[in-house]
Amino acid sequence: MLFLGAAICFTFAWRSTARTAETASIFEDAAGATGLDFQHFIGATGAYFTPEIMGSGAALIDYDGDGDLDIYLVQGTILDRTKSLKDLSFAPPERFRPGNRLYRNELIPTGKLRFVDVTAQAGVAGNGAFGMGVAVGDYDNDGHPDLFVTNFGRNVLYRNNGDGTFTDVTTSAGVGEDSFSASAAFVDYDRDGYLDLFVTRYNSFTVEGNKKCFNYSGGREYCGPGDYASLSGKLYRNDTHGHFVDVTQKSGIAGAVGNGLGVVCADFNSDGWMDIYVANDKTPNHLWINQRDGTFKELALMAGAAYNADGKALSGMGVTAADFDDDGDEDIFVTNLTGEPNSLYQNDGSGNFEDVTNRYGLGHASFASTGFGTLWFDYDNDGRLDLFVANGEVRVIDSQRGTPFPFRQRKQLFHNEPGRSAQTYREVTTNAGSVFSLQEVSRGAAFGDIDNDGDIDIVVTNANGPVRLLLNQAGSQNHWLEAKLGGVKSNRDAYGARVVLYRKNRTPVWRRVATDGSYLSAHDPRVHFGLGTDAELKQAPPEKLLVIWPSGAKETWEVARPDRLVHLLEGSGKPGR
Amino acid sequence: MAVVVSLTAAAASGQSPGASSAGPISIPQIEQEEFEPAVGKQIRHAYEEARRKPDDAEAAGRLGMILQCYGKYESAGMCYRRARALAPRSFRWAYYLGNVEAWLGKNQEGVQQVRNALQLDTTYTPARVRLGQMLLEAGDLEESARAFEESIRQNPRLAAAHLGLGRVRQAGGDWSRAIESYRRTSDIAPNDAAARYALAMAYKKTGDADKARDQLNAYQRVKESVQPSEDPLMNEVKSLYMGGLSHFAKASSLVQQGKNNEAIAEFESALRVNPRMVMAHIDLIALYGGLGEKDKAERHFRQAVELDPGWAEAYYNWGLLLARAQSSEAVDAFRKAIAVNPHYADAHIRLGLLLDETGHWAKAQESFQRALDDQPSNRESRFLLGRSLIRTGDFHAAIAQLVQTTQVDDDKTPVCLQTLAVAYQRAGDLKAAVNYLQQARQRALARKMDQLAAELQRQLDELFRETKGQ
Repeated sequence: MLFLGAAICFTFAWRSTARTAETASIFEDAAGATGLDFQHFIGATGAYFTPEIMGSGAALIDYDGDGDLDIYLVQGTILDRTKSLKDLSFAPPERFRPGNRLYRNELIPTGKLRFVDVTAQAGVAGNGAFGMGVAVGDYDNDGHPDLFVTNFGRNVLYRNNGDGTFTDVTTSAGVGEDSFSASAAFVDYDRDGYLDLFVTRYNSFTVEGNKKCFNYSGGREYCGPGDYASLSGKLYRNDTHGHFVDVTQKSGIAGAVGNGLGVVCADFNSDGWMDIYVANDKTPNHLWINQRDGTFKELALMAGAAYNADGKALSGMGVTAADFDDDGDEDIFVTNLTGEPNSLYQNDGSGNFEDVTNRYGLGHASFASTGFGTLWFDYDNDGRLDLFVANGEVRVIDSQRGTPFPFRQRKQLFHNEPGRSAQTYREVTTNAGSVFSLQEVSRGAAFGDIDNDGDIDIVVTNANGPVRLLLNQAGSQNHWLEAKLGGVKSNRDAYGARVVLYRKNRTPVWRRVATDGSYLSAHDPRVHFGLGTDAELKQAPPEKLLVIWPSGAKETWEVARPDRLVHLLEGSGKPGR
Repeated sequence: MAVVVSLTAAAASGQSPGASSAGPISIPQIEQEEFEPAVGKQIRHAYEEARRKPDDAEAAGRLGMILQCYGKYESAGMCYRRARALAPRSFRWAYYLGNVEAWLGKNQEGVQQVRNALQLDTTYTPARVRLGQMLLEAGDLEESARAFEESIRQNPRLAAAHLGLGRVRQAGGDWSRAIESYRRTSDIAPNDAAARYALAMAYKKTGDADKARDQLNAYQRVKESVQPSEDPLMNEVKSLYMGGLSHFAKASSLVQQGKNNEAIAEFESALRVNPRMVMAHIDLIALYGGLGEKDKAERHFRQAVELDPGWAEAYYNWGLLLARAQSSEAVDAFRKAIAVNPHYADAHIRLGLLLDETGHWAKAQESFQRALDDQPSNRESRFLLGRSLIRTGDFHAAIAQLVQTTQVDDDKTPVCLQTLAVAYQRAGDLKAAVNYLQQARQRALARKMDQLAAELQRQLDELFRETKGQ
């Protein structure tokens, strides 16, 4: 698919009503109604194997290039190969089918949001391992996004053939690591225009070496991260010929181990080079700062991003990075275990962070929840980044003891409200929709404009449960702007590009092209800006977009009208400053 | 189990004095859960007591305390609410309830209960500190500051109050006063890791890199030590813990202090409380092995693998004991550890060492490489691999490995450099060999490793003679 010069726009119908204070239901689950009938399966046989309680993820990917987001969902399996369905602790979900699934979105060309299972035709069902996460990126720059699936077991790389099918190129690409992998991210860390690959690894759990673990009072539980040896992440450099070279040792990434679960790539110290942040479970988080020579240094401790404010390593699972305070740098938010607050690290612009969780009202709100998938996103298109957290326990909840899967918790939604004294994030979960009152064991969360109506929707996966498609009902009532970038000298997906929206009478707003972050999941690569109500739009009309490409080039485009998707091709804008 | 009797409205609100109970307390989870024997006995005894005396606040409250110490906060909350309803003038039940509510994420309810408690007794300062912490977590900086300041007025030696005030000041952007508070905390409680860390971050923020580094070093030194507690009522809850883990934790600490005999006694106590604690059996294999008491070590090894064959560490520790005794069975033990956990780097290394000693160099090198595959930064395995490659004549491969072991400057570096020199010498590059031997000697001297330095000098002298001979 070619990008045709400057601002080619797809206009979508927008509703020009004034914004209501809060809609009755911000999100509604449309999975069943749209044919998204995936049920996750953990294959539990009573042995408490760790992967059962950790997976799995989801990806939003426009695999067929038709302009709408398709959905890829990762599946579990029975880990003990000597067991079968009759040995299960509880029956598989009603509509369970083995293997990962790819659902094609039929919004374009039918105009109706509907999903069709095309897994068999596409050839992406996985390799039979217990699926964990998925990353999306056009690693060969052929214009078709590819899929990298992490497993407890051998990872898999699927190259998109551009005709609705994929080819398993794992072996030839050299990325078939066989261990306990979790989140992964495509990132052009050496700025050669090709996406490289970072993979987090959790620990050295094996089925044969499964330990019996207990809680404080002696009851059986899933083992914690520290019950098995930690591992380092893996970094693969794209050799630009369809193959990856394992540079874990050479790059310095092997120099620190942890229990890696979440990963997000951004330029944290504003030097123009992509860095890598890893959320580790019960070990210090890692901040890998790019040394611009093919190596990284782990600097989280000195940077203030390894521990919480008390100097404790928390149970980092999900992670997101964005400029939540609109000061032009990338901040970090990490989800943690019940009894630990989620962590908000504010960047001072130079890659030094401060734990400001309590200051922004996020301390106590997460104490009773174990958070996984998360992302900063503007759900109501008011221009400020809100937060969603997918929750689900990993330890038995006493009040649910005796039920088949006693780990169920509610998802949470937080609204960014500057101006309220001493608190900026207000929990709005009770108004967010009936799906937020469901208690489930949520894990992955993939964010994107799935129905192309200008607001951000969410796909949420549940361990041993149904997938949820949270369609946003609120955001499209306000104005918005989306941009899809295309790299030429930069990697084709433009991952890592920073996009600044300038509006009259307003502070510039920064976003980043990314599909990584959250937990085990991959998102819509289009950047999204909320522009507010009619009055706010009139008072502060958008003027221009500045793009800082991964190649280092800067370009600007005028913004003539809101409520559309613009395509920005590297080299087609005006030189920017 | 009887159907759960719902709490009265009074019990739910905890505010109405003289409210009578609505029947015996009912917590079905207690029936369903599996506990360690001693823990189960303790909980069930307290539960039966509370059911026998439905109008006794102490019985309900004590059950709550026991449940709280095992992390059963929902159930503990039920008990405290009952106790509150039965004894609304009691400070303890309101305070405990407030803590548990906060732990359950109900910050507002927690704050309210702790405020209720403080109305009943204004003198228990740790409760005021706890209030300050809860208000800080809710983002209410003003009220939080007030609580901490009042706490300090009541008791200037409460480290947690100064720490909390520091946090409030930091949140308000007043870094210099935050530093004052953190320093005061460290003066009162030098081992308070949170204060050291906060001070380090604050110095970093204000641009004092040297002080930041000093405090970070201090933080690293104290972060594993037991943190001071200033809340007697919460200590009372913790003291109720009867599970094996308390003995285990104490034993682990004694091991770190080198007090092995006392550690053995604590591990054995842990096992008396909970005979299923595999970790205690595993540690006793190593400790008894170190004392030469093979029979006892073996007994714990057999018990460990019988309880849970998934612990590779049991085979590993047994293998270490056998290796010390130069038993050929050590190889089997390490192999078994690896079969259970193929990523067990230490087991690969120990196996490799045994194979190396018995001349099975190729297999030894495989083992060392396997350890490196899982832990590329494992210096020991890289060194051993390099050394083994010298033995098999793969000098260039040896050099490639050994060079990487010399990048770090510590007590092991002189030996790494020495071995690298040997590799170069055998490869015929005498100039490089001399260079690395000289470096090794310099590093040894700098570290006052005089014996090694002398040996290195002798090697240099020999090498010079060899060089001259050429």
